[in-house]
Amino acid sequence: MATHNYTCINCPLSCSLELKEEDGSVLEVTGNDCKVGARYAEEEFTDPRRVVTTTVGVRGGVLPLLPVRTENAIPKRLIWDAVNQIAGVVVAAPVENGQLVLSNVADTGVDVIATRDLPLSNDAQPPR
Amino acid sequence: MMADARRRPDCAVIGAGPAGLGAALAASKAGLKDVLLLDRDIELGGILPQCIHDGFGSIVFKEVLTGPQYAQRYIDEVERSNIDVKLNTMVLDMDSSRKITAVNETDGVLEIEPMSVVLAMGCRERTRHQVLIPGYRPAGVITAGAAQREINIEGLMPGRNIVILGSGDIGLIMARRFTLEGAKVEGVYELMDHPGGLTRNVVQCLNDFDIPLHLSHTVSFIHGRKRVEAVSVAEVDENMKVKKETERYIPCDTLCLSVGLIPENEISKHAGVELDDVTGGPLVDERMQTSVDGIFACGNVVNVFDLVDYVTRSAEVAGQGAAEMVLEGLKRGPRLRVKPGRNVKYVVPQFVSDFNREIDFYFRVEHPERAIAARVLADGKPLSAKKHKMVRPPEMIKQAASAADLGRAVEELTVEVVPSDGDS
Amino acid sequence: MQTGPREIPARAGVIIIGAGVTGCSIARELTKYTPDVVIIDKETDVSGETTKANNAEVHSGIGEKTGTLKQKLNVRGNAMYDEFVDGLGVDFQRQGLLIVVTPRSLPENVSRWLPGPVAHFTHEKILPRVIMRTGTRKGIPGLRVVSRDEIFRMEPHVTKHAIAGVFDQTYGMVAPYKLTIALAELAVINGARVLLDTDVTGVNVEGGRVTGVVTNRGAIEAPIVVNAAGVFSDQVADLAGSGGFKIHARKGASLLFDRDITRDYVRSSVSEFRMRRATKSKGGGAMPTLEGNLQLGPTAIDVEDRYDTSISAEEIEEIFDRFYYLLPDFPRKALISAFSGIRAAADDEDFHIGASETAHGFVNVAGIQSPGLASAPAIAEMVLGILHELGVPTGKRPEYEEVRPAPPRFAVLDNEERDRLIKEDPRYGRVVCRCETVTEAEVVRAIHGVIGATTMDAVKRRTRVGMGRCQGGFCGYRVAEILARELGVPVTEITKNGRGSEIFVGETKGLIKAESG
Repeated sequence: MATHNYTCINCPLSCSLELKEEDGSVLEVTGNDCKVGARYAEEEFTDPRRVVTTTVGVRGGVLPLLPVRTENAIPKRLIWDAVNQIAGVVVAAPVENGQLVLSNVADTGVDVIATRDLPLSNDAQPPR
Repeated sequence: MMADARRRPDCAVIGAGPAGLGAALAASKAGLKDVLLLDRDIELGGILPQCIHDGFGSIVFKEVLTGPQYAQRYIDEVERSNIDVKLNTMVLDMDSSRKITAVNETDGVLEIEPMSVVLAMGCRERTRHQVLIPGYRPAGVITAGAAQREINIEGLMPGRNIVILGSGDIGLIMARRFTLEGAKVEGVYELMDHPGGLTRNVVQCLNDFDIPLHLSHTVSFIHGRKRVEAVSVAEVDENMKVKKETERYIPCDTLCLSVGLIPENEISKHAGVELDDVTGGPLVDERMQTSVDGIFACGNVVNVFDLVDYVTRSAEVAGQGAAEMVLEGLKRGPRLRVKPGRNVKYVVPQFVSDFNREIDFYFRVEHPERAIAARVLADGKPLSAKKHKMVRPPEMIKQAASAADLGRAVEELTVEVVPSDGDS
Repeated sequence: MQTGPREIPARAGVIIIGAGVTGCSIARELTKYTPDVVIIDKETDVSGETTKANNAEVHSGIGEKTGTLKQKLNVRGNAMYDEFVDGLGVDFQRQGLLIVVTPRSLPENVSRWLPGPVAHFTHEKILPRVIMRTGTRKGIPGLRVVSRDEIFRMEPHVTKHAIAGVFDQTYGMVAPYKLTIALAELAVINGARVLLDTDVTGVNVEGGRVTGVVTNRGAIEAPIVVNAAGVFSDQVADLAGSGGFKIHARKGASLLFDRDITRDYVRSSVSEFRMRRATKSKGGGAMPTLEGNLQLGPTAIDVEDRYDTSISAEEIEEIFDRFYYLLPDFPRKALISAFSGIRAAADDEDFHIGASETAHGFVNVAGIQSPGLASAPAIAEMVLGILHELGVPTGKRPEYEEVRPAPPRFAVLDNEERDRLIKEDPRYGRVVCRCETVTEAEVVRAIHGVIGATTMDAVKRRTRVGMGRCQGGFCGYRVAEILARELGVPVTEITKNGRGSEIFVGETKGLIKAESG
């Protein structure tokens, strides 16, 4: 049997949760004040997921960078794979909010999308 | 010349962040034909375009958006409206008769005499001197918001080995952001004995990346004559004084500060708007009207809100208030001061003159408390109450109330937090 | 990044080592007679070491010991100031100094032995007259005794402990770095050359005569070398075998407050008279800067490290403690900046000005600590006397240009003038620094000025960019980008104050990819 500790993020109470498991199956969650906390601990143990947000390079835009996000949360263990893969992407302006930037990032089945409009620049980028 | 540039709009909104966007749209929707939205930046959205992380909009849109996504919804709406937008335009001054002086490169000096004004300039960050960090003054000491702008908008890295002072949400968010961009965050140091930001951010920005959070700690010295070479950190005692014997020397090239935000009210002061010593923002009534007739205020100018959704809500009230004033010749009645009651640090709005409408009262507690009820009292009788499992100073509480059903004038209005039994 | 002329000259008529207020005052004076002047400094900007952290007081000389050179030059320098700044486009104001006598003015070990009424009488009647008479004997004009009631009328925030005071009306303030930049620019307009980022490593002396200096960028021949090297003037003197005095570093820290909150908090400078403190520092004061900020300080602490411009928690507390007594309600929360600098104090505490007896043509202008700023005009005058004896022509050049054109400052103009400027140059319509209302045009002009700014701090000193309440939080990156654009270098090369103080360490992943692709 093993125990894992989590902090519940669902309300300001921030319960310290303790999850007991044996061979991957959850035995018990303690420290929670409500059911949401128990469910949260189980999720964090079995399949923790996070939305990843970062930027990609843009050519010809009013700004040099485009903010992007994974459309939905991806498995937490794949954050770095996703970030590294996204870092290799460059898009061309103009960009529309919600536009697909990268599909199926890190083989998660989740797409990466633009989170804003980014119009074409009228003039060249300032030298760097 | 300047006379040509003189404008007399129904409403001028100063600042086009979430507050200004919301106020301009609300004023326009409420029937004002000529709404002028002024901002110094090259684009709309204020600080939101650099807040690329998610966590915005859960109240207003019932979904979790990133900052740019949240802003885009309002920007799209403004672009579809007939709101007159002037970007790259800096408001230099405003007097108590609402006369605004602004400049930009195409119009030169603009003189604007609007029927109503909404102040929506937001807030600024506290610097190292406001928290008195001793040491040298090298390059590499940066506020978290400035770092966020440099990394997320300009694509420039302010440092590679980072120490963060302050665990407010921006500091936590930047710990993750620095890490994802390949920098090493040595740790986050917090003066108080509890984190300043949301638990969600402590978990997802620090714990996920094994970044330690050191509570009851501060930076006691900045080393390095040219560029930051190290900082000394130390534990503090109950009086927030450095315990010298606990001092540690931490090599780094950057000290990133997330030590609080201050409402930006220079223009408000010039216009003679009365400020609240506690919030640092204008004293407002239920329409977000300040002490000066026709000048309204909303968002972080009024008080630093924890959620952008609340900024938007306050902006809608201000925009509607400005429209009511212009269209209906709104006259101000006698104002009743809202009293902060038990475990309430302050309440916004600070005044109420028309209590026959439902008013959202925003407030913060003085100290954390479990199992409470937040209540609005009229002459000692509860008008509304809501139970909370836990309340903490960083998180604002919103409690709506109306005296419409009371059928009489209220003489004393109090917002308080009291212990409650049972489940919420 | 190298600044100033790329090539260093092979020879010069006069070399001045040190581009602080002392060196630049001498340079401006010297170019009235000869254009053949080279100023060398190891920093990236003029006024880059001690002068930039000077706290701007032009003392009357009342605090200096009778009979010292610095007392004489202070009184003389103060009297010369209006003429000295004429044509420089720099603000100078004589707002006066109110010296307040309090129950702490007499040392505790003296007042302890005096019966209460006697101590009070001494404080009220005797001390102010002693202060005044001593000052008058030093040659300071216009001193007058002020009563307790008058103190409160003049300065309502002064402590109710105040007993009496003396008003010193010749005391004034000038922005030391602006003054120094203006002096250096006027010298350059009149033919001088300024070599920055240039470190003097040797002084050549042959047959009892100085023949030039060696720098990290090469050697320059010159028959006259003036040592105005401030904190390092003893080391430079030793290079010429003309030392014999020792400089030690004395740190002075000051605090600066938000001017929107503290404007008119004090109308003149105010200081508390403490008998025991008179030796090292004048004890510091509370002063309204020319921009309207309240400033408190400076401290005076001897330190080992000549580069120690840090501020300790204890120093900040010391300043707070001292001024809580004098000004019990000062707005502590409005603090926006703290700065400290090093004074070059000679071991005997006096100025060391004179021609070397062993190296003909070598002139020391050393030990110039406070009141160096007030004394600068008189120091320049005295040094010119020495230089004339060493052969610098005594006839004024007819082509000497008296006026340095000062760039417009958008923040203080009226709207008509602002509008006109924007029509001429739209960059005046782009406000970069919102706390201080500084426009892009002003930043660009600072970069392309007579002595062009190449660093963030240099732009700040010339324009006030980033000096306001947000301390550059909003405009820092904008200024860096304008510097990069105007200087034609990558923004990652832009520094705060010279090599090693780069603002950015590189680019983010997305940007690198976008540029390489």
